[in-house]
Amino acid sequence: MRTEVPKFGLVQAQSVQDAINLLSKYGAGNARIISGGTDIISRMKNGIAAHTPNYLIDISGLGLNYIKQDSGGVHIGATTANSDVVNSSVVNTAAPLLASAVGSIATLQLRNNSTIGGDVLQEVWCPYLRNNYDCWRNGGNVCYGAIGDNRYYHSIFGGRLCYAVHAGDAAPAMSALGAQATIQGPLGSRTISMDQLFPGISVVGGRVQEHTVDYNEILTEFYIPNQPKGTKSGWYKVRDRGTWDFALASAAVTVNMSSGAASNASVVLGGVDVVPHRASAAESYLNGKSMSEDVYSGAGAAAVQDATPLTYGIGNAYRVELAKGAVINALRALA
Amino acid sequence: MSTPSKFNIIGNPNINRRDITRKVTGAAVYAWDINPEHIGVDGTVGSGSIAYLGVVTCPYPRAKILKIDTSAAEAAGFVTLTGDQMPPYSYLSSRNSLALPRTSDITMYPGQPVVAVAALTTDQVEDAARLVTVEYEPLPYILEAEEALAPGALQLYNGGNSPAGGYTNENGIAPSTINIKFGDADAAMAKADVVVGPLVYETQHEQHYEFEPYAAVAQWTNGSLRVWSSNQWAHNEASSLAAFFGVPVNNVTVSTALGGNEGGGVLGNGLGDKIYQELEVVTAAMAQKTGTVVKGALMRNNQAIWASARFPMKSYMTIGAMKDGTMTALKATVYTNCGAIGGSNGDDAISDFYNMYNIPNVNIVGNSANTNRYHSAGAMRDVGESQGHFFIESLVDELAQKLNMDPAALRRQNLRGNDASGNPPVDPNVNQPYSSSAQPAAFDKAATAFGWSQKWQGWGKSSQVNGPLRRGVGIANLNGAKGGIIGFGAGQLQVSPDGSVQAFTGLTDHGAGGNTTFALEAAEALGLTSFDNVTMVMSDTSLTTDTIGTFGSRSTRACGLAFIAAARDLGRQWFPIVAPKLAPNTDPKNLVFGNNMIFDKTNPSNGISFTAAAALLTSPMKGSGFFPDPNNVTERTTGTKFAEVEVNTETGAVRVVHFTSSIGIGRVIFAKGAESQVRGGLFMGIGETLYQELYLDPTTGRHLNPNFHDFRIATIMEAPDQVDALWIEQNDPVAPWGAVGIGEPVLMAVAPAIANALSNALGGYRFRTLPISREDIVAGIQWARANGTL
Amino acid sequence: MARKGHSASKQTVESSLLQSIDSKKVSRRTFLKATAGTAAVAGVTALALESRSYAQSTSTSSTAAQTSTDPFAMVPITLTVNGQQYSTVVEPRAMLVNVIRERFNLTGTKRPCNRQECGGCTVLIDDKPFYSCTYLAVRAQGHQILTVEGTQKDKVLAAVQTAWVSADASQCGYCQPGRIMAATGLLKSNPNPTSDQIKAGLEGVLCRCGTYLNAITAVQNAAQGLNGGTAA
Repeated sequence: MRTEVPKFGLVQAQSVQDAINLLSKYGAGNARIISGGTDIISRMKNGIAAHTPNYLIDISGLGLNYIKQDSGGVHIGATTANSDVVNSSVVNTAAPLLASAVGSIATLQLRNNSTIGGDVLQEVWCPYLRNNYDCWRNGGNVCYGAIGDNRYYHSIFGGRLCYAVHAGDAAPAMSALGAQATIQGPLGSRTISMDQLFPGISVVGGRVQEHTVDYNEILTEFYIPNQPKGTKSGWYKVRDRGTWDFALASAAVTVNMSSGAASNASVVLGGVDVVPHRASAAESYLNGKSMSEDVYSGAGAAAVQDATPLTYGIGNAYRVELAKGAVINALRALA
Repeated sequence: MSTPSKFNIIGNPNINRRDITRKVTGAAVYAWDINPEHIGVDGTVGSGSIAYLGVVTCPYPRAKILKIDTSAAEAAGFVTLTGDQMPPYSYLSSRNSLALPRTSDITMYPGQPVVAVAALTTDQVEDAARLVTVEYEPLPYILEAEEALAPGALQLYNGGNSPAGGYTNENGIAPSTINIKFGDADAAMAKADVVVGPLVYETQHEQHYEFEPYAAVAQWTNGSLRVWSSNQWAHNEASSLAAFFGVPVNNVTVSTALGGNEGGGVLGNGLGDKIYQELEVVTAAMAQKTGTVVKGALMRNNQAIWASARFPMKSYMTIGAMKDGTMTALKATVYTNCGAIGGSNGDDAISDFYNMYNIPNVNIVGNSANTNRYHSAGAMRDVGESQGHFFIESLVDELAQKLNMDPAALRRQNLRGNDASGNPPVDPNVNQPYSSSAQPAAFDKAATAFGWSQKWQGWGKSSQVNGPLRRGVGIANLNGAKGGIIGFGAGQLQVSPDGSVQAFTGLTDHGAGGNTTFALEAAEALGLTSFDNVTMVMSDTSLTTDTIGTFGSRSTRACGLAFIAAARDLGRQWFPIVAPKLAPNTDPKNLVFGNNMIFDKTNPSNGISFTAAAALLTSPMKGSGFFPDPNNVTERTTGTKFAEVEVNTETGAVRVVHFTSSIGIGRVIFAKGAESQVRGGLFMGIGETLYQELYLDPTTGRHLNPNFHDFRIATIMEAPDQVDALWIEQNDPVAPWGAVGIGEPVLMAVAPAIANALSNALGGYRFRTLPISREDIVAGIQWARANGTL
Repeated sequence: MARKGHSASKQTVESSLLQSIDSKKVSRRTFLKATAGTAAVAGVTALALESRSYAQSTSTSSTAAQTSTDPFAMVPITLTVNGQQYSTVVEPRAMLVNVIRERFNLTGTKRPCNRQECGGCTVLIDDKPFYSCTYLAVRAQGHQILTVEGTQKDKVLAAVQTAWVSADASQCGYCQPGRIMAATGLLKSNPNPTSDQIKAGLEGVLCRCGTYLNAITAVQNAAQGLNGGTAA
């Protein structure tokens, strides 16, 4: 755990293709991209050996910061500042859930300096990784959190290899909104759903991670499709203090209320699983019901019915209650 | 104020902090800010005239150093310093620990500095550290005090793990370091109608997280050492450094930050962390090695671990009372975790147990143990009394619960305070009177302001319910050792012919407002209604004298009494010069300072202005004052605190809604500053109660959160809706104009007030460890649901 | 080493600061001696690096064939701070906070944690608050940077600083520059903030001394002073 950054070479990418070429040339571990910098710089300041590249490829000047609306939805460039997402009238009208979620990231200064792509793809905050323990994400083959202090940053829905949670706020909201991500790489471009972006822990380009963006790929854009008329949404983030902290549990909910009873419910939890966690049982529970306090409670219980909190190490069962509370409060906030 | 003050300036509610403009415009230079330009050294980047120092630390709680290899760092152009290269002296502690350990030594706590490195820019310091390789053999370690004192425990030192130096006896018990006994607690407990306990209470390992990390700039010139550092006790630092390096103390000059006129009162808080000299010793030794000025400026992850800490405590408590609420017996066995090198501690915590209430039968055993948990038990705001208040005021609340008595009424009934004639109470341990007490007046004032009788709904009932939000109210009394004089006070006041005044004190201002308070005291002592012409010369060993340090909530009292004495000494020299200018036969012994004048107290119209009197001088005149702490009174700070909290029973989130603090301040000197202290103490207490904890990996014993990310201090979002800062001016007789210290008392009793309120919100569930984490709150919510109180 | 004596500490520090803002001589730190044999970069004073450790950085750069610029090379930059231009040469990794504190001798901005976890290093960049400890100095070119020393250049900042005094919103003072800049940024974007908006605007700067309540009052007073309107 340190605070200064080791020397690195800073390369201004001239285009997305140029950035991809540079990443390929330097290789995994030797180069990473930088947009806002709050993620990669913090990893380097933490002194995480496998996350301290020799080269940073700056993609902030490639024009990937935009919010554009077309007839189908909203396109948000991956290097758009999070505070711009929060303040965008387009986002607040077409996808207020995203504005709420992104508005709860960390602090105002960090939202100014970070990007939406950076938040979605940020590294986990497990204290072992951040103290340069040689875990799965840092050149080793063990998860210290699974057997140690897993109170704040580890999964209550089980896992494999790395049990650290995806702690970001944007991804659960994007998932609930049915967003898609466009990724460009050496073999071309692909546009995938959030579920496909976050399939769970696997080894990608030699790295243990929970998303599918390879070491020489760049996520360039998010697309939020228009929500059906009558859709209401709600976001709730449970954290220790009233600002700064990552979610102990969060919930992003969208429900179509045009018929009086819920339909097309989408319930995605954040901060409780290695990926944004789609609570299918809660979705099934909600569909067909009118909203009431009892229904909120029922949905909350359904959302955590298959939780498997860690019992090795210190344990994190209390976060099951918090996840339930997040769902209840997100539903109460439906608007 | 509706009535005119009898004072010249103290207590004036409109006085602003006099150094605040410098701080909010960035003009104030802290030690951490010192650039070469500030101290007249060549400022060219990389010129080699100033080097930056960092440290390489050992991650293990206990390890043998097998090999230190600095060759790669040296080859890259950096300079390194190891314990093998430092003079073999011992350092302050009962455990003779070295500033840097040597090869084959055993490191004793996680994060212990092992090698120092120096580089030419700040960016490169960690580059240098990365090139140093140290091989360790990790060794078994002990983290808990009770474990360290158990029979057969790993012996961390020859002679056992108790800092008293004793061996454990055949029963595995270390000789007690603290024994408080009066009356017969066992007999009284047996006769009590109600006994609560034994219950176990525990508090956490915390550290200061003061915003300005440690910094020291060291410069040797022909065998003389100049140090500019972020310190709370410059004079002690100078004499310690002189002893370490074997130079006469006159050859060592230390200041807080830049020192000089107005520069020595700039310190980015300390909270007790900056009374020690480890960094200065290593920085000065590196300066010797490099031949340059060296600036040691700690990174936060090192700062979070270094110097002293709030020592974790564990207390087994039992209390007995009669059914009418009269407390009769108190027993406690206390364990204090002193870290690797700390001495015996816990006295002040234990003093809170038996001072708070009139309990005639008391038996308290206090054990201290060294462990590998952290560096050293030592000063951190409250030293033991955050813990002590949490222990006794939680226990008493549980007694009230068992008696089904209003917890405020139970406390009021047994409260140690002034008698009906206003005579102060007696400290039962040493049988001497308090110099003053604010009780029961502080209690009554607080209860009324808070609205206790309207809010309290009885045991098992939240004070207010609003859907999933439940409120609770709680109370805790304050009776603390901090706020006394400690040692002595010394200071000087110098007047110049132009009427300007220089006030000299060895104290500094770590944020508590000393710069303003001391200036107010200097002005008051000299009868001035403004301090505009007063310059504060603080914490610079070339200009001031030792007055012991800025800690222990002592400085208002020590400085004020010293300045009163200094003004008297100044008058002794000055008034014989003034008297001949007044009415014929004016006796200089009748002259006094007051209302910007020097006048005859037997005939107040016979006087001249302070400025005119100064013009009579041909050169500056200095008065010197000294005030020793009398040893025939007990100096304690008293008061009462109430809290109203709100718990979200779906998420476990806790909010302090309303907090009332009522403290016997003796006399308000710096009104705005005192109120700010109450608010600041509350925020620190909120963090201490709900969030703050330095935790280790359970498997390896290494630190997991030496940073602000995961050591969570209160944010602006934790701000309560209402905070009342009430004062009782009980006019302590051993105090300047009656004023006692409150810098730490504002933090004491905050934790139990909040914990007791939380308990009330959740139907009586008890929180017996600090911090009360989200996990603990969830457990309380689940209990309350299962017990039908939710 | 010859001592040239103390600098500003002997004057009234505010007056010296306010004077120096207007007539600031670029400190010695920003002039680096020119020597023969060092390539000049257009428009910037030629410089030589006396320190061995700087010379090292160029020797460790990758030898892979790439663009003409060595990505590890020192970068000459000119930054605009409080309306004044400052020039220096930095490594790519240099953070804005270190450059303004150590190169430009503007020590008003503090660095309590150096890891974007406390907010004490907050400065305004184009009127928006950022943590300068994780903001690359090379990236700060072309922007307007405002720090606490910018009193003479910004009336919102001056109003905030003035309001801080009577509200007693500072104790040890080490976090205050960060909060003051956050408050200034808030009032520039929202001249009449509610209490909740004030808390949101100041959320990103921690305070160990606990001055938050006084800060809220100070911002309300500053808003009133600037607008003549009543705080919501």
